[in-house]
Amino acid sequence: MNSWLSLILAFLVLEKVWPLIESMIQRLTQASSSKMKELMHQKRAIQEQQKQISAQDEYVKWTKNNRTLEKINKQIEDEKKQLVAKVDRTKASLKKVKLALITVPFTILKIYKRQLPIYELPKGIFPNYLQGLFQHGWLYLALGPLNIKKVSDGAHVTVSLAIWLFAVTKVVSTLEGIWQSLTAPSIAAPAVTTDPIEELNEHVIDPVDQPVD
Amino acid sequence: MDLTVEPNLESLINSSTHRWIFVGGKGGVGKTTSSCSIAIQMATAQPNKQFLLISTDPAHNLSDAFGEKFGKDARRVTGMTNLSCMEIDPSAALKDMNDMAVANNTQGSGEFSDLLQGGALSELTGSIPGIDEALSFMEVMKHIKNQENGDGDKYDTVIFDTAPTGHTLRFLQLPTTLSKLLEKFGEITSRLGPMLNSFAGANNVDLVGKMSELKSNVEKIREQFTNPDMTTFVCVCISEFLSLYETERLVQELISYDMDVNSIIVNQLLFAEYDEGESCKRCQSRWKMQKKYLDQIDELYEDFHIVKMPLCAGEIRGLNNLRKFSQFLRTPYDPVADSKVIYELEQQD
Repeated sequence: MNSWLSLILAFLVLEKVWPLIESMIQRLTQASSSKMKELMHQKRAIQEQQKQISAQDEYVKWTKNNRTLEKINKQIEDEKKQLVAKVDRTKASLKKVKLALITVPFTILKIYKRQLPIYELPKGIFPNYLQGLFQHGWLYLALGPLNIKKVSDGAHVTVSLAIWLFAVTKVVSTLEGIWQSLTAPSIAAPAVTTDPIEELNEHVIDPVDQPVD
Repeated sequence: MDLTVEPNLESLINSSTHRWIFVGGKGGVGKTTSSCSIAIQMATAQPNKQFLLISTDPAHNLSDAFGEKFGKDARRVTGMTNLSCMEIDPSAALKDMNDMAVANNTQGSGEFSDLLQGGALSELTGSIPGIDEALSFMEVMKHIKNQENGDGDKYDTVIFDTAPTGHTLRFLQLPTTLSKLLEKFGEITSRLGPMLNSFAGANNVDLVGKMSELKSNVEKIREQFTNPDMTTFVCVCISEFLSLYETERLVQELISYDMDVNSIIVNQLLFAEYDEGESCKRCQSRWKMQKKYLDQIDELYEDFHIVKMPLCAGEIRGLNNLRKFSQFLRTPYDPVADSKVIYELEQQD
């Protein structure tokens, strides 16, 4: 396989897989907060203790526990804020990394190698205009009618990288959409308590006899 | 070195640095009696200073406590040379504002003037939640300004008989809230500048200037309220679970506002076991419950001045009764030696 094509395929795969890598890194960032776990554990322990003592009989212990709980809650809030800030920083960094390593090089590559022939199709299957589009890319839409770009001579017409990528990404996103709709959680049907026909008939008003003149 | 904290308010009563003393707690625990007692003791201990007792509770009781009428202007207590009282009346203050607005709008005509003449401004603003706290705060600002400019009556210490806990906490939050609001306003004025003055109408009011002045006053108040040498909060409670729980909540909130709180007055104590003769079963049972909480208060607030005040046989109204009762703020109540005092209160009409 053409090395450029391999490179482009690699970029394509990386672009699709990037959200997974991002979520993995964010999860690792969140999981590394052991202080938060410790605080939550302490909070649960004190709450359990509070349930077991009588506020009126052991007011001192109950109040001291409340004070400790307040402190822990405050620490948890601070820790949450720090964690959110850390996650935001990680997201921002990953965004920059993606831009530098994937988006920019891939875009440059797509523009630079837009006319790279991927495969050939026999002439005559598609209208001439479409054949020109396959060969020269989207520019043919504007330049073709002006005869600036023409379909090459020969029995075959090449499909350029730009058009091939367009088709591939369309197919992939369609497949993604189908997968998401198949795996989305089902919505329960609303409960029907009365027979719909009976409900309809409830609103039917018998016609009033018209007065006879 | 003796680290025990005295169970009295001697240090506060003799304090020459405190300018703002707040007395607060749950409803019905004896805030008014306690604030009057503190004011009387301070005025007696420091005869060369002037003291002002202000009620910020919309349901004023100062007049009832002293048995004489006080209004929105400070008036000396009969029998005291250096203690004055004031009851802030939101409706009267708003009426004054309305009258000022009418006076400023004499040239105007039409529906707006008619509305002002009809007292619409005071009616509209009178129902805004928090208006009582805002007016009390304005009174504080007025006193600070008087102190600095040497205008009006000068008071060395102002004692506040506050409204029940929630209202007081809202009042104490006002400096911080106003400060943030005015900071935002400052950002807007820096962008819009003199254009804002045109919103004030044709009266040539320097809105920006007034807001800057207000901001500086609010900052001064915030500094003073968080200075432990100048401001303190005295919590009043009774020896029951709900009151103690609310006191704990109040103490924690005050600490979060950086406000000094180191005194708790526990009111309405029965001391039934020291009663001469046989006390009733109900009193004994109630005293047992109070004692249970008293021991726990001592343990929970070991670095606080815990002042234990007795439940008297009669109402503590009038200057003489308040004087008799307030002595226990300085010297702790002895249920054996001082028991006669609680029966010696004079009947008030």
